[in-house]
Amino acid sequence: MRRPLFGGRNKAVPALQGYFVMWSLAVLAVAVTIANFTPLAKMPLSLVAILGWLALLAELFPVEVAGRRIRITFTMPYIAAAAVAIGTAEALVLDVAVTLSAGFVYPTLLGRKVSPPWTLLNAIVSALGCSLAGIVLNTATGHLSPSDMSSVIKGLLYMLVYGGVNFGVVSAVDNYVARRPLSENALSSLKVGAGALSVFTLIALPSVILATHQQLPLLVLTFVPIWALRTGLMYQAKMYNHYYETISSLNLMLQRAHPYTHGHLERVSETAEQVAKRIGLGSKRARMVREAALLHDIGKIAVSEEILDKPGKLNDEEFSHVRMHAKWGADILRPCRQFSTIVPWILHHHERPDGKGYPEGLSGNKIPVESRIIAIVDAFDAMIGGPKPGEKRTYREPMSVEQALMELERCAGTQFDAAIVEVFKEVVISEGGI
Amino acid sequence: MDFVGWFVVGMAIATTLWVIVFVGNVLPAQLDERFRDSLRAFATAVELRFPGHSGVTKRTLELCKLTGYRMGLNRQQLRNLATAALIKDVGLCAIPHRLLNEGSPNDWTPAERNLYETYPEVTLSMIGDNSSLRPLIPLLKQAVTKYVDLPEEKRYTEARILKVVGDYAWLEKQHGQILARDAILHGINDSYDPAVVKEFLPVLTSARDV
Repeated sequence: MRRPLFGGRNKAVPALQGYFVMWSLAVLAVAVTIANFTPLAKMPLSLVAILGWLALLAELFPVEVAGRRIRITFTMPYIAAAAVAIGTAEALVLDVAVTLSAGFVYPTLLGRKVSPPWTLLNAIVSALGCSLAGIVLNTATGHLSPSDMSSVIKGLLYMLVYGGVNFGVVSAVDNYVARRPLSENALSSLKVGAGALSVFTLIALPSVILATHQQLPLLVLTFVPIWALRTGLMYQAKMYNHYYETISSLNLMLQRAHPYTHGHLERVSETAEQVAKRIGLGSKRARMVREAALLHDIGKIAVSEEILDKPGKLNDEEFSHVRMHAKWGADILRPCRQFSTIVPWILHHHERPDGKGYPEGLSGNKIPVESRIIAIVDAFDAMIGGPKPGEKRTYREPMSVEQALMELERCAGTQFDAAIVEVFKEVVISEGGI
Repeated sequence: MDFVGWFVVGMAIATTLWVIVFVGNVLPAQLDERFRDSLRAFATAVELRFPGHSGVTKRTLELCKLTGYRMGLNRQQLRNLATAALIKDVGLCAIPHRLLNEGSPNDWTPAERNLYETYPEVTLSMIGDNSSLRPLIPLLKQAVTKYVDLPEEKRYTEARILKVVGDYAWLEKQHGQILARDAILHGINDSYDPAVVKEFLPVLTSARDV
C-alpha cells in the first residue's frame, strides 16, 4: 500500500482482512488504465534505465514506522520525471514494474516473507495513481509548449494528483482494514507538515527538469537530497517510536511497583479518549488525553504499596502521602520536554470544581479540561473495579456500573465537572459499560 | 535549460544543503535530547520511590564519565556508559517500598535479600521492551557480573567500569566514602577489574567534591 509523503509514497501493510478492497481497486485501476493508455513511445532507453534504477533504489530504502506497519518511500519524483520527459503510459509501466520488483526484492533482502497480495495491491494503487495523474496531465497541460516552466507545471500537477490519489486510497484502506481514523495517518503521526512537503517538492522538481533535458549524470545526483530527506524522516520515525516507548517504559515501571494498575490504566485511557472526542476535542488532543490517562498515576510509583493497598480507611498521614502522587507524577514527567503539554493535566487530575481537590485546590474552569476528563473516568473505573481478581481494590467492594454512575451524578458539580459527567454517561451507555 | 530550469535547480541545491545540515546536526541532537530526557524521568521515578537512593544515579553517572575518560573510551562507549548508568537501577521499582525505605539492608532476612537481588534481572526484562535501550542488555548483564565470572570474549569495558562505580556509589551512600573505597579495594580481582580500579581511585580523589 502506498500513500504520498513529501509527495513520496508510503506503504501500509496491516493484515488484509479481505480481498474485497483489492479487487474493487483492481477493477477501477484496469478501467482507468485502459481509458488512459496510449501507445508506448519510442523510449530513450538510457533515461528509462536511470529513472527505473533510481525509483527502485528509492523503493528499496523505505522508512519504516514501527508499530504502524507502514513503509514510506520516495519514488514519486522519478515517476513524475518519467511521465513528463517520456510519457504518462511509460511512467505507469515503469511504476508498476518497480513496485512489483520491490515487493519481492525488499522482503527477500530482509529475510522476511513476501506478501503477494500486498505487493499486488501496491501495484494496483500505483496504476490507479499513474493513470489518473496521466489523464489530468494530458488534459490540462497538453496545449503547453515545451519549456522548463511547462515541465515544472506538469511535474507539480502530476505529483499532486498522483500523491493525492495514493494518499486517499491508502488512508481509506488503512481505515477500512485497521480501523485507524483518517486523521491518524502516518503523515500526521510523524508531524509532517506543509513546510516539509514544500521542501520535498522543491527537491523533487529538478529530477523532472533534468530528465526532460536528459542530463543523466546530474539526474543520478538527485538521489542525494532524496537520501537526506529519507534520513530526516527516519529521525522523525525514531522520535515517534521513542515517545511511545517512553510511555510504555514508565507504565511498565508503575506496573512492577503496583501490578493492579495495568488494566485500570488501559481502560481509563481508552475511555478518556472517547470522552475527549465526544466533548469536541480534536483527534490529536484526544490522543494526548489517552496518553496522559495512561500516565496519570505514574506518581504512585513513589507511594508505598502497603498504604495504597491497605484495607479500610487511611489515616491523615497516609492520605497526605497518597495525595502526593499527583505532584510526583508531574515531577517524574517534567524532565521530558515531549510531555510538557500533559504534565499539567496529570498534576491536576485530582482537583475538584468546588476547589477542594489537590494539589493546588484549583476550581471550575481553572482545572484543565483534560484533567477533569481523567478525574471522572479514573474515579468510575476505581469504583467498578477491573474484571480480573487482582484488579479489585482491597479497600472497597466494587460497585455496579449503575451504582457508580449514580455516584458520579451525585458528585457532579462538586467533585466532578457536571457537563463532562453527562458526556461520560453517554459514552458508558453507548459502549455498554467499561 | 532556460532561466526557470536553472532557478529550480539552484533552489533545489540550496535546499539540499540546508536539509543536509538540518538532518546531520539538528535532528540527531533533538533525538539525543529526548533520549536523555526519558532516562532522567526513569531515574527520577526510582529516586522518588526510594529517597535513600537519591543522588546515587547522578554520582554514578559523573564518576563513570570521569573514569571512562581516563580509560580512553571513545565517544560511543562513553555514551553507552552514561546511558547504562542512568538505567541500571530502573528494576528497583519492583522491590517493595518498605524494603528499601525502612530499616537497614543489614537487617534484611535471606528472603528479602534474595528479593532485592532480583532487581538487575527486572531491569533487563524492562529494558527488553524498549527498542532504543535493548542493545545495552549485554553490557548491563556484564555490569552486574563479577569480574572473575565475565566471559573471555566480548568483555565490555563500559560494563567493568559501571560495576566498580555503581557498587561504589551505592556503598558510599550507605556507609560513607572510606568504607566504600575499602570495599572496592577488597573486591579487586574477584568482583572488580584491577585495571578499572586503578583508574577509578584517582578519579575518586579528584572528584571528591563532584
